[in-house]
Amino acid sequence: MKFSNLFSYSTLLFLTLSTALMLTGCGNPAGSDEEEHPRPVGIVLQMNGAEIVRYENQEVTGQIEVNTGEETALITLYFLDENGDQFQYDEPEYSLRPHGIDESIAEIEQHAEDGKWSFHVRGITPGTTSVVFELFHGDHGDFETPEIPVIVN
Amino acid sequence: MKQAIFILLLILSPLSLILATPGPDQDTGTLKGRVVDRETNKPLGFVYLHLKEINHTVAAHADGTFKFENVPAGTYTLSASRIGYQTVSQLVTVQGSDTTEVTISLKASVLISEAVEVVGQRSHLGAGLEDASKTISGAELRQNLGTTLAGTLSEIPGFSSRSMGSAPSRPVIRGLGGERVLILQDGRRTGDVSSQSADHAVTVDPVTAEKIEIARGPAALQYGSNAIGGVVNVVRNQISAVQPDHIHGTASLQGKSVNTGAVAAFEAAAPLGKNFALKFDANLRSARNMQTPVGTLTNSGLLSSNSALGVSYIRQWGYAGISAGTYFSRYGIPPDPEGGHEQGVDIEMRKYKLAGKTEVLFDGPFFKSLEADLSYKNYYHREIENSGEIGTEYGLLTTNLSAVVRHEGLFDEGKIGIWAEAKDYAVNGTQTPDSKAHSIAAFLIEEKDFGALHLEAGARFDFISISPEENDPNSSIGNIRPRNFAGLSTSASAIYDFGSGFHAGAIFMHSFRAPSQEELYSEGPHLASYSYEVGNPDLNPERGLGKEVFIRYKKPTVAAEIAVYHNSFPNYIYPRNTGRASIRFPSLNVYQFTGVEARFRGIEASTQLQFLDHWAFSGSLSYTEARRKVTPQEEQFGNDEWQPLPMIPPLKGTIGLTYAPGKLRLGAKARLAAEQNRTAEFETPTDGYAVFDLFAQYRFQSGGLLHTIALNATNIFNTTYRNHLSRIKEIIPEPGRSVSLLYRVYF
Repeated sequence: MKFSNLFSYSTLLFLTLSTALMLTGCGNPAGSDEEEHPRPVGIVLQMNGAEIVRYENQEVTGQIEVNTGEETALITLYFLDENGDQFQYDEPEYSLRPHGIDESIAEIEQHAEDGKWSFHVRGITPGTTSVVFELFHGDHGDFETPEIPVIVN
Repeated sequence: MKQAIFILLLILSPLSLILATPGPDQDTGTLKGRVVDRETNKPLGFVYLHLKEINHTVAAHADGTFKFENVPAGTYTLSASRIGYQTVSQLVTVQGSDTTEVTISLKASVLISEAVEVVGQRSHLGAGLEDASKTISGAELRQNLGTTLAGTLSEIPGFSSRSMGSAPSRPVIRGLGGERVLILQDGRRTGDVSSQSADHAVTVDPVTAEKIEIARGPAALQYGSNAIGGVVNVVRNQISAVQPDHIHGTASLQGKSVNTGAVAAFEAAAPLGKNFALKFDANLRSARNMQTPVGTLTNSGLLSSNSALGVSYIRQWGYAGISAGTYFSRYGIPPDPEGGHEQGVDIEMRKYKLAGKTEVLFDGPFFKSLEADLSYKNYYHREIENSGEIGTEYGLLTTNLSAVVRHEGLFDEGKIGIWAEAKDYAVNGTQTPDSKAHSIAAFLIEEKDFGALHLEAGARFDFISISPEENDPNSSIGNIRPRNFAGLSTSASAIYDFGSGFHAGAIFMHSFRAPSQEELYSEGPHLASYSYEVGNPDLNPERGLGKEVFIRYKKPTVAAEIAVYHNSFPNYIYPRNTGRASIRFPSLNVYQFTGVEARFRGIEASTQLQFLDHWAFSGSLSYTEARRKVTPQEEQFGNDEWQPLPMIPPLKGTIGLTYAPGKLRLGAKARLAAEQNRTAEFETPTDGYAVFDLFAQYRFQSGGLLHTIALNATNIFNTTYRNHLSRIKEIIPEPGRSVSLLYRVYF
């Protein structure tokens, strides 16, 4: 075995691998270049300018009430940051996903003209159920509330 | 800039070593021989012959002949192993420019353990054939072959399986898991995120493993400073170190009733011309939902494939080769009705890997070989909720380099090496910042025999630099900033050969583990593991002090071992369940990474005893107790000074009986566990259990093929039992009655 052969084979091998490494190692498939946004730690729900539900410091106060066969006025959700200040997201990749409600008792209705942070609740039959509001960012959840009581009279 | 310098170092390190190497022709010889059955003197094919010192393996032809070429002159430990026979080890001396011939006779054995028969006279009485390592292969591997690596190893004394359904499981050794158990494939890190969470699967399928090696003590330092639990190396030899002189390999089919599971696997090595060798392996595995005695475990199916292709160029000076491989998997995480996710989560995983390896042999008086290895792994997985939306994504790009020089002369033999790693880690769907980690290490491992005393000692120095993409001094989890860590880890072992099969030994290990990127910077929901993970950017390195003493007795018809160990950690890092719901995801509890003073202690015992020619009794026992020191605040509330740590296995053991007349092997086994009520805060205790299994194995040779059939019936009484290390033990018990059939043909 000549030294030159040894050098050339090994060099070829490692240069090939190193090149492949640098080419394929450019980007992490889970990497992201997201901008900084305020992060919610709570929410308030307002209806007709009055606060009806607050989730803050891991405690839910208030409830959503509606009569059977009727629809609430427009309810708007505001997020609370760590200082307790209210805010909403303007970016299109953020959305609100209510879930967990028993639709035989009540339904959540969202209309495009009301904006993505507002909704109505329609009473279907008398009873009690609950709803969880989840903040979606792109294709994953960024925040969710505990179960918020919904009472249909 | 730092990454560019690091990559440059990665490239230059092996080249500089090779360039500094003189390239004289090697003084090599040929070792050839024949393997026969000791009783009938008939030739035995399908025997795997291994030269320990240079880690070269060949398979014997059907007529029992074998040949190693280009073996540097010297004395080697040659071991021969075959299904149904006791492994034989003997010293052979290879003369330069000459052919050395040996005949090896193997004796049929009922025992399936690694009991090794030593033939011939060693030049000294040293216990060099005894070390702190263990190998699983042959009948033992086929009998215990599970869906996962952890399942395959779970009956070894001291081993348990951390699981979360069918697919995601990882070995836990003596209560130590995560990064304290290093999982390797062909000596390389797997480049996945299985160490960080119970729902993340290990990206190694055991079905194509030639053997599985478990190392502790000084030998483990070659692979990392943190493996105080041990190193588990799955050997697939994807880059062949020797030129096969014929096409050989295996093809396997396995079916399992408990999850309607099936796996097909194929692996082969073939010569390509005079100087090239080809290695190929592939498998496809599928399983539906698992059945338990109380019902079906919803969303526990899996579909995975694992394949690799390697080419080697083999010459008198050594070899160089490359391999490429893929791993694809999709599996379900069962639903948790009380938290996390009611419908379960699906995980889609993919990994691409590329590796290059070279070994250059020297015939100088001191340096014997240089082995350099460079690998790159591109890993990605995403966790998909029932609605189809992606919960969390993980990406990990890992580059590893190692260069090891094997030498003689200073002591009996030893290794000096460098090791480096670059990790690019990203998580999407949480607040965890993307981050990079660069590590570099140097190590020295030496062996020396003093008469009947075999000593090994090693030291390793690591430097690790971890950098988040952006600093955030005001983050809600603390001051997110770059961190640098440096530490020395050491290990020593001593084994004394008392003669007549008795050995006694002690192992000491002082480990060093820098906090991982996820332990430092994590923040966010992890639905699949039912947790909201919170890192701690201020964590200090974890250091461990492990001590172990053991006694072994090995004879052709009996093997027994007992070991006692104690591992202590001034700063044991683990995700502690705080019991508090997350503010941002109230359905998930906060798991805070924290460092605590901890101690692990326990005992293991195992035995195999052959009696009445064809009968063998086997038994094993494992016990681990692990506790952490409570905080001063907890002490104020009247808690005891030491509290149990979570996910620690109970006292458990096995009892088995085997009947092996010739080519048939029949057996029954009981798996026993005591209740585990030493539980950590918010952890559920588990009841004791006794579960019974039956197995039958048969082998026959026809033409140029060796056929093996393994039939296993597990949990035959459909007993309801729970694995204390299962993250879903409160939801569903372990699998119910199952029958599995494995057919494997060797060609």
